[in-house]
Parts: sequence; C-alpha cells; structure tokens
Amino acid sequence: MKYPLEWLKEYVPIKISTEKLAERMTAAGFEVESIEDTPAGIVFDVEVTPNRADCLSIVGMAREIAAFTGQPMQPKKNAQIPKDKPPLESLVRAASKKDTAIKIKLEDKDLCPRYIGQLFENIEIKPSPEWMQKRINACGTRAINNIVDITNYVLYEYGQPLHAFDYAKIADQTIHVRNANKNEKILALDELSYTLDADRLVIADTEKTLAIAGVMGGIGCETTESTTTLLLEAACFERIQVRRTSRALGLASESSYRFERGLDARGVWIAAQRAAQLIEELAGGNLVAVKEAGKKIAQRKSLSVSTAALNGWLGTDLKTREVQQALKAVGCEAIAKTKDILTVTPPSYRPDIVQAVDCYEEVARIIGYENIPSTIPEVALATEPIACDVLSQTLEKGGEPSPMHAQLTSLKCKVASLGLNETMNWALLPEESLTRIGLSKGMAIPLANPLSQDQAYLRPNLLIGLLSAVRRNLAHGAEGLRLFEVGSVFNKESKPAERQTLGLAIAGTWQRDWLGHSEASFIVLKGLIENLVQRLVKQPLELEPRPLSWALQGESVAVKIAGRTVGVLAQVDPQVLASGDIETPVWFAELDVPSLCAVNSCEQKITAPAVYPPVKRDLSILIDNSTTYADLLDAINSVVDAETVSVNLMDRYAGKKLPQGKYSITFNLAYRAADRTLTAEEAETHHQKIVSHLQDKFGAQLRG
Amino acid sequence: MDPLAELDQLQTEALSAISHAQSADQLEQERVRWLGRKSRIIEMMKLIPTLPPESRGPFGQRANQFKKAVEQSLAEQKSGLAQTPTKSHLDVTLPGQSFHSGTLHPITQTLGTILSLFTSMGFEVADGPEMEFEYYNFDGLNIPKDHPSRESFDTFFVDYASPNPKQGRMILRSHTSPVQVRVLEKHEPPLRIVVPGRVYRRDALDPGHSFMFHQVEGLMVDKKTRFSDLKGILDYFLRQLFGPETKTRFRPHYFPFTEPSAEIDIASHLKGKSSFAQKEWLEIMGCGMVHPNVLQAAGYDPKEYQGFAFGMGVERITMLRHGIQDIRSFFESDVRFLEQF
Repeated sequence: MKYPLEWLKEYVPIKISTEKLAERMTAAGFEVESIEDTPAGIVFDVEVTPNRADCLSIVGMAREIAAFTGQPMQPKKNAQIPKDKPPLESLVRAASKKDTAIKIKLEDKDLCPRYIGQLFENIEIKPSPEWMQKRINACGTRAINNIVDITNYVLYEYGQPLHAFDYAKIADQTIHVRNANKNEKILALDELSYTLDADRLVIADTEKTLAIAGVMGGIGCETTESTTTLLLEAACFERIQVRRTSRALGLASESSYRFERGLDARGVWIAAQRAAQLIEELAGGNLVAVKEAGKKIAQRKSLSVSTAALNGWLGTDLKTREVQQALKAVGCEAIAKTKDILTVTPPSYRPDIVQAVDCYEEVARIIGYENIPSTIPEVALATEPIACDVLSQTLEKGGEPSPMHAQLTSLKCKVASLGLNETMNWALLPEESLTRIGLSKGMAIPLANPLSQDQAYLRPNLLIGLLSAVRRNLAHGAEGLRLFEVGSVFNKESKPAERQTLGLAIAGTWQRDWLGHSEASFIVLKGLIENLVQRLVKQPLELEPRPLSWALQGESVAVKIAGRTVGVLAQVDPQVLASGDIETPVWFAELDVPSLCAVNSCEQKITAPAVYPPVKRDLSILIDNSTTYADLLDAINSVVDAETVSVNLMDRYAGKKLPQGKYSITFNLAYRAADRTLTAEEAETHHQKIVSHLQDKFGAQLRG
Repeated sequence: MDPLAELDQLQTEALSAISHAQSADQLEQERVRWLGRKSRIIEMMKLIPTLPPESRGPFGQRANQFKKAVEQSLAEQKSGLAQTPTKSHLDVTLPGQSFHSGTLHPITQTLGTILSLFTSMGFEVADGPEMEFEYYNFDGLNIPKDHPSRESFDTFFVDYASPNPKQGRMILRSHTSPVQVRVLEKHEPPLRIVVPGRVYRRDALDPGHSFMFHQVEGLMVDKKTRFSDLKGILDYFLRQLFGPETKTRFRPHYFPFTEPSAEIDIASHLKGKSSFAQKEWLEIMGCGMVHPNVLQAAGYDPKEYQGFAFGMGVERITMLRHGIQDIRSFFESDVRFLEQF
C-alpha cells in the first residue's frame, strides 16, 4: 500500500528523517519498496504481509510507527479518531426520520457480523476538495465525486471499505444481505456483468441486486450528480466468503483485498463516524437515520505469556517488565500476573495475535531482530539416521525406493566423468511436443490451471526436453552434443506416477581434433551405458529389440539388467527429428534412476586380480552377415568358459573386398588359468577348440 | 676395378658413413647397407669362385678385414651414441589431444555447496515428490484453505486423481516445505534436515522469474532450539557461502508456518554483479521458528518441541555467485553457458 507521509503525520509525530523512517519500517517488518515524491508529498510504497490487514490503512501504519519509535499517537484536530461505539442517538443529530427509514435484513450473521446503514439527506454532489483528491490519487485511486472520494478516503485512512448507495434507487428502503440466487446476474461498477452462484453473498433490495458483498457495487444504485439522499454502508463481511467470491469471479478490489485479510468488526463504527463527519463537512449532508444489524462482537480472549518461555523461544534474556512494555507498545493490554506471567489481551484490530508465540514475535519485532543474539546450538553430534525409503515416500508404493541425494550426485558425477554435459530442461511441455514424438497425450499428466498452452503437460520423459536442447545448440553452431539430465518424469500409467529418470542424448561429432575424428552412434551411446551400468550395478547389460514411437526401426532396444527392463536406447527417427528441425542424427537413452542406484556398494565383493600371465592368440575369420557378435561370443564361451578365455574384439570389417554377404572379424583371445601359468600347448588346445567350433557352427573361414 | 682397391674404397666410404650415423636406427640402416644380404661385400664374396686361384686367398682375407673394420666401427659408433642423449624432434607446440570433460549443472554445483555446509553441521539430506498433495503443501503448514497467503504460492494444480483424497488434490509443490511435514510425520525429533528440490509456481517467464526453480529447505527441531540459534547457524552458513565479510540482516516477515518469521538480507558486496544486486541489501532467504500448529498437525506436543525452519532459492544464490543475469539461462541448456561451470 502507498502511504503519503503528510497523512501519517496527522496521526503520529515523526521526528526522524524519511530515510531513517523507511529503515525503521523495514526493520519492523514493513518493507519499504520505494519512496516517491508526488503532488501529495513524499509517498512510501510498503509491502504489507497478509497477516497485517490492520496496517492497510494510514491509521494502522501510524500506530505501528508510534509503537516502534516510542511516540504516542497524536491525531491532529481535523483527524480525531472517533470512539469505538457511540450511542446511536448521539449520532442522529437531525433525527427527523425514525430509524424505520432504513430496514436491514441479514440472512446469515456469521457471513456479515456487522452492517451499519447511515442515511444522509440534502447531499450536494460535487468534486471533492483538492487535498482529498491528491491523497487518494497518491494511494492509487482516481477522484470521482465528493461522496465516492470520501468512501475511498476513509478506506485508506481506516482500512474499512464503505459503499454509498443512492437511497432513492433502493426499493422499499430495505437492504437485504443474502445469498445470491443461482445464476443471479449483476452489472458491477467495472461495467462487466457477473453471474453468481448460490453461495455468493449479495446486497440487494426487494427488487434487484445492488452489490457483490465486500467486493464491488453494482451499476444502477450508485451515486450520481442527481443524488440527494444517500445510504452509506459500513459493514464487515466474513473474510473467507469474500475471498472465495473474489477468486471465483476473478474480481479483486481494494475492498475485497482488505476483507479477505480479516477486518476488525469493531472498526466499522469508527469508519462510519469518520465518513459521516466528512460527508457533513464536504457534501453538506445531514445524517438523518442510523441502523445497525449484526451480531454481538465477542471480547478478545486474553493469553497467558510467560517470560521464561519467551526467552526460551527467542534465545533472549528479557525481563517481564520489558516484555510487558513491548506488548503495550503494540496496543495489547498486558497485566503482570506473576513475576513471570503476563495476561495479555490483544487489541481488536490485531486478529493475528492468537497464541503466545504471536506475542513472542511482537516482542522480537519491537526490541528489534538485530538485538536478538546469534548463538550456535549445543546439540547431539548426530540425530537418528533418516532411511531413504521413508524419506522418499513416493505418492504410491511401487518400484525401487528413491535414491538418496548422495547417490544421485554420485550418478551425475559418473555421467559427467564420461564427458557429458548436465542440463536441466523445462518440466512443463506443450501438447504438440508429445504428439510430435508419437505419444498419446492420454499417458501424460496435464496441468489443471496451466499458465500457457506451452506449459500444459508434465513431461512424460526426458527426450522432448533434450531434443529441444540439441536443436538450440545445433542452431548456435555446435558440431556435436553430449547431454544428460537427471530429473522427475510423470506418467499417468506408471506406479508411482513420478519417477526419477536419467536421460542421455548424443548427436553429431563425438570427438574431433587434429589426431582423429569419430561420430556419435548407437555404439558410442551403448558404450556409455555399459560403462555406467558396470560401475553402478556391476551386472551385465542385456539389450532386447523394442519398437518405440519415436525411434528408428531396427536401432531401438530395451535395456535390461538381471532380466528387468530399466530403460531404452535408440536412434531417434530422422522423421521425428525433421519435424523438430533437427538434421543431425541423434541417439537417446533413458534409464530408471532407482534401478541404477539400487545396489548398495558396501555389499559389492571384489575379485582379486589374476596373478598368472595370459597366453594371447589372435583369431581372424570370415563369417556370414546373419551371424551376430553375440552369437560368436556365446559359441566361444560354449566350448571354453569365460573364466579361461577373455574375448576382445579387435576389428570388424564389411566391404567390397570381401565375398558378398560376409564380413571379417578379428578377436584377440587371452587364455589364462587361475592357479598356474598356462602352457602354450594348453592355450593352443583351447584355441583350436574354438576355431573348429566356429567353423562347424557358422562355417567360419580362417583368414591370414 | 681391382677388387682389392674396390674394397679399400668401400671401407673408407663405410667408415665415414657409420661415423655420421646419429641414432640407433640410422646405425642399423648402415649395418644393413654395408654388411646386409644385399650389400656390396656379400655380392663381391659371391664372386670369389670366379677369381684366379692365386687371388682368392688375399681377397678373402681382405674381405674379412673389411667386415671386422665395419663391425668395429659400428660398435664404436653405437657406444658413442649411447653416451650422447637421444633427441626427439617433436613439435611440442602442437595442441594436445582434446578430451571432452563433462560438466555438472550450475544448480547441481550450488546445491552441492549448500548441502555440504549443512551436512557438516550434522544436518541430513531428505527429499520428497514434486507432485504433491495439497495437504502437505498448505494445510499441514498452517496455511488453511482460503487463506490469502496461499496467493503468494501461486500454485499449479495437476489433473490427476488424488490417490488419497483426504489429503486434497494433487499439485506441483510450490515450495520444498511439504517435506518438513512428511519427515515430521515419520520421524520423532531431534531432527536436523535439509531438503533440496524442484518447485513450481504460476509465474510468467522473464529474466527474474521462472515457473520452475529450486529450493533448499532446512528444519531443526528438538526441545530447546531457539530463534538465536537460527540466527547463529544461518549467519555462519551465509558467511561460508558468500565469504567471511558477509553482513546479514534479519528482518521481520510473515510466513504462516513460522512464528516469529524473518527474511534475511545480505549486504551487497556483490552489488552490480547481477541484475538484482543493485540494492544495498539483497533478500536471500526466509526463515523462522516452526509454528506450533505445524508441530501439532504432525502429531507433536508443541509445548515439548520447538525449532526452526528456513528456505532459500538456489537459482538466486547461483545468479549472485556467478553474476548471471537471466534465470532462464539455467534451463535453456546452451552448452556455451554450461561448459563455463
């Protein structure tokens, strides 16, 4: 809210400089965002937290300034604060009309604990005086006429919204505060038409809707140039009611802003009298009738505040007397009951003070946070360990427990150590990004209230984000990309719906310098995954063909560990890439993070390195294209077990120099025994076994 | 030419060539040239049977002399070479082989720094889901329905059937504080935890705002932890993070889940480094004493336990540390940006 300094000074003497005042306000919890010089003088723009509706007014802020500067509230003559509640009779000076001139019917007193109607006659509508216009302008409202300006002036001055009705336009002189009829329509003062639900509260006469209670008045009963008789509403509406209405209609006003933060029901009378005083002064009106409806406003309950408990909470060493002083400064009644205990009654304008801790905060604010010491707690060295399965309570049970943060970090470090750049991509995506990669949007989880259609779905995978990252970097002239991301993906059909996932994407040049050059490929990405799985899970990787909507046929596999699918690996279909403006081939893999982190490295047993030297033999053969590497490996190990022979692929060649339908492959085979040095003859026996098996089984031809 | 005379000439040439050999390789080439299978001496010796018988003996002797002389010369040159150091002619100014080292995202790195400062003080790292129940994000934190402070957490609702409707609808968590409630529900104090995580708010993208960002949340609850301890621990943390000269300011604020609540500013010695580092004081985190209602909602007697909670934005801290101007650069995956970390 904006506070003109001169207006504040009408209520509290301010003896410090503007800058110093701003500093003190900030230190008291009212952050001054700017200080402006306006036609109404210096104006402070202050962020008022939602718990302090009482300070959304000049008087409220003046009270705060009085509290933390130690000055008394001293209203100037023209700004005397009216009494809480005067006898009705004393208000109606020209009691020419009986109070039957206004009837107020409250349907639900909980939703409207207080409604005061004041009737004025002989109103002369004209512009308000310049000083008033300047002040309400400075607060952010434009001047309209003296009556409307007075309601706004009092709104800013006391924080109490008011509404002025042209009495002549109210049927049967009766104000109904009632629930709206279903689909009841109102044309509000913002010139928009609103359709109301039955649980909205309206102000109405017997014929028509006059206002949306606490939010905005309607067109048709407002004051105009011809208004001579005026009904001024000063009411208190229940805050949740106002908030729901304002949210449902998407209609906020200075009035709803204050009501939904909770207003002091006792403040209604004060504002009503202040408005009456100004109307008589500035619009020539006579107050002729006053009517009040509502319920009895309960007295504030008192709280018991212990100085010892307060010191134990704040870490201070305050005396009961100091606590009492601080609480009195913010308007509380504080009576010392014992040496330690104060009986505290907060003022009616502080509905936020309900517990002893609220008083602790007030005391801390008044003595200043800077005056609370800084201490280092003395505590046990460690607390009970927090097991990861309990911590990562996923939404629904299912799958591996989420990994601990340290495991995630370790995973990221391992991937980065393989030369990949970690990225973080947007987790909210447009619908068309899903359909582009051939996913049905039914499996993705949409937002119920997206900010824009570009962010309408939670990402169901990391592919979409990484592809965008690839595209942007290629556009910047990158020749090759090697990216990864670790993050949550969301999928309607999986349990739990949110999974931690690792995505890897490589594209274009893998390695290039003056010594050589290699391109990204399926084999490169497979090598990365093999390395990761080897280091993390210590189990062999199995691949199984798996068609995917976005993948190139034949280069698309499921990744399995110990028989369980943990992810996919594939070349992205060039057509999918083309639709995303990518011409460079891209390979992508996605792996389930909990599965990668499920192995406890403490339980890993190591094998001692071999002691005896191996005997090495090369084997070069010509073989049919239909025979895979895995076929050959299986065949080798079927005659000589894997502990005796380790197989290294040295070369694979397929080309025009070879007979049609064949390729050549060269292995380096290392034979070894665990308990002795293998003789050349023993190695030769193993080697021949392998050679003849490959010849028999696949028709392999020895080369060179 | 007379074979003997030819041998004399050959020997002169050979010894001269050998004496000029500069390396073992060259020496080997000389050996092959003068004594190898295709050398002149071998050719000449093959011609011995064609010589007149009386010339055969002297020629044979002379040929052997030649071989000995050449071998001796080779040996001498070899030992001579062994004493002079070998020299490589590599152009050492060539660029080294290029290695592509990977990088960790700046947010990951800042998170790592923050978490290690707290774990060194005995805090444990906890986490929770991004797709969360309304209850944990709000109600359990003393933010009832229709409370205006829900507005400051402008929240995304998710179109996904709540697995537990009692805990409300599903949302994208708008802060990491829900994990406080989850941990309190499962673990009795004493507790010291820090919670890193991604959060979402309905904010339009601009250089200072993003609908997706990261926070670190902290919670310490036992029987006697006080507001002054909160000040002490966060003072220490901020001086570790931003340097020993860092000045901090605790300023009253309002959070529904803490009482008293504070925002912490640091004096901007980083002024000018980042677009929002223009003010004298920079808001860096929020904190306060855990509200008794939060402890009560998690099933504890608030008279028995007390403690503090705090939260900070990881992007903001990273931007300050590295002079980054635009929050969007964290999520645009430009490798020219990422490779600077």
